[in-house]
Amino acid sequence: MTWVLISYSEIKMPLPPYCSEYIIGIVENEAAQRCMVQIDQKYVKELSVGTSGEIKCVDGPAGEINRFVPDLSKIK
Amino acid sequence: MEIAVVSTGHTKFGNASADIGDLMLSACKQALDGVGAEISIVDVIYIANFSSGFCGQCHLPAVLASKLGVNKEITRIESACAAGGLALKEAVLAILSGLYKTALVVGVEKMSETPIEETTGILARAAEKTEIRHGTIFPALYALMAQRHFHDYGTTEEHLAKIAVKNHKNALNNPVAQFKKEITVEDVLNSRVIASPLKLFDCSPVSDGAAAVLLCNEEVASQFTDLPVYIMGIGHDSDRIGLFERENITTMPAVTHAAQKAFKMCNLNPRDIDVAEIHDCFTIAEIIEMEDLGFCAKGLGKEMIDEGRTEINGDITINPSGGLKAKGHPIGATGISQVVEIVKQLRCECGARQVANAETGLCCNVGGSGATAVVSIFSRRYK
Repeated sequence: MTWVLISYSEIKMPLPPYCSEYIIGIVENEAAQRCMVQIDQKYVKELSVGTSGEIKCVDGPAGEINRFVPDLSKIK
Repeated sequence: MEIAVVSTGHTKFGNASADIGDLMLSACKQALDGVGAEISIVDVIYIANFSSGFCGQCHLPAVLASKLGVNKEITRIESACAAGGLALKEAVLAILSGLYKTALVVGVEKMSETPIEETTGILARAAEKTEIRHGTIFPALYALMAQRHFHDYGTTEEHLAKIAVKNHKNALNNPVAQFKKEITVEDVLNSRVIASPLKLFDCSPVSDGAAAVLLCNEEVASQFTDLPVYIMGIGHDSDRIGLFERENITTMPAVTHAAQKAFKMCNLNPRDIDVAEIHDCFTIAEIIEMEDLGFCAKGLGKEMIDEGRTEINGDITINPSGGLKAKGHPIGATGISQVVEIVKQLRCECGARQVANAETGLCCNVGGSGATAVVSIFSRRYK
């Protein structure tokens, strides 16, 4: 399923138990379902509102989280 | 509505050495002393407060009863940063019920003794659980709104910076403001990023403080003052707690609904408002609320800022007190502090920050990322 980035923010002041910087975002799928995601900071320069990608469930320090992976093939 | 604010009290916002009980007492005493009243004339008291997590003190109604040395009906109200607005609404309803003639409403928070990481964590408890699990802090929720507002409407970091500059300038003339420092657009843009695109100077500070207002029905009000300020309308709305649960993150429907209720109650509209205190916890919030309150069309907040129309004596003065951004933001006190400023403006008691000929004012108090909103409208003329 494809998810589209509605908005995102790079957090420079992590909330414990996080201890390093990360990106959070809101994504939406074709069925207009929305959810929170985290995004690896290595993608920061690739992101913009409307970027599409997939989400994967991964373990975070405070429980399961959604990790958004942008589809780099669709980014110019 | 035949309810008037007859007196106010306000501690200086910032880092206070007083404990939370003494902060409340100081604001309450100012409000009572302002009209030469004794606590015995107060029928009921409401306390607005967000969290005992900051200073470790629960059971604030009993704390205040001890400080005042009285037995009274005292209730604590919590709804994140909108606690003050909601406490005001409860006091209005209490008086309208006919059971009470006078109500004292005091907002308070004591935050500065808590380490900043802990403060951020306590504040985050007002967000949705999934947001917290993903490491979302409140600046980030407002940053998400800002990023999308930039995308949809062309608002920029410079527009947000101009709001911070305006509110710091206004706070220079407010004796109870936390910050007395003029800043420039460059200062804001060069301050460190907290959650992109929001920077340190886009964020309201951690503050201690208390504010109080004494409300009376019209019959009693005339016994205390010749300068009553009437509550003309008050609206309240709650929305979904998670920002991601909302259809559009560039608007706060709770603000729109609360404003519609308040305006309808007094048959006024946004063009009737001379001065407003609105909830600029982050600079983007001031733009979104200006639009949602109907002061301009959606997306045109940036133009009002560019044209200086929200500065003191502009088309509509917004945050002459300095707002949360520069006056300070002790969470539970904020909604009442907004009312104190509007009452003082309508009584022409604001000195160098006075809005000329202000007759009608509005307060917009918001909780969380916009999930709770209380909008109240005041006038020095009763219609």
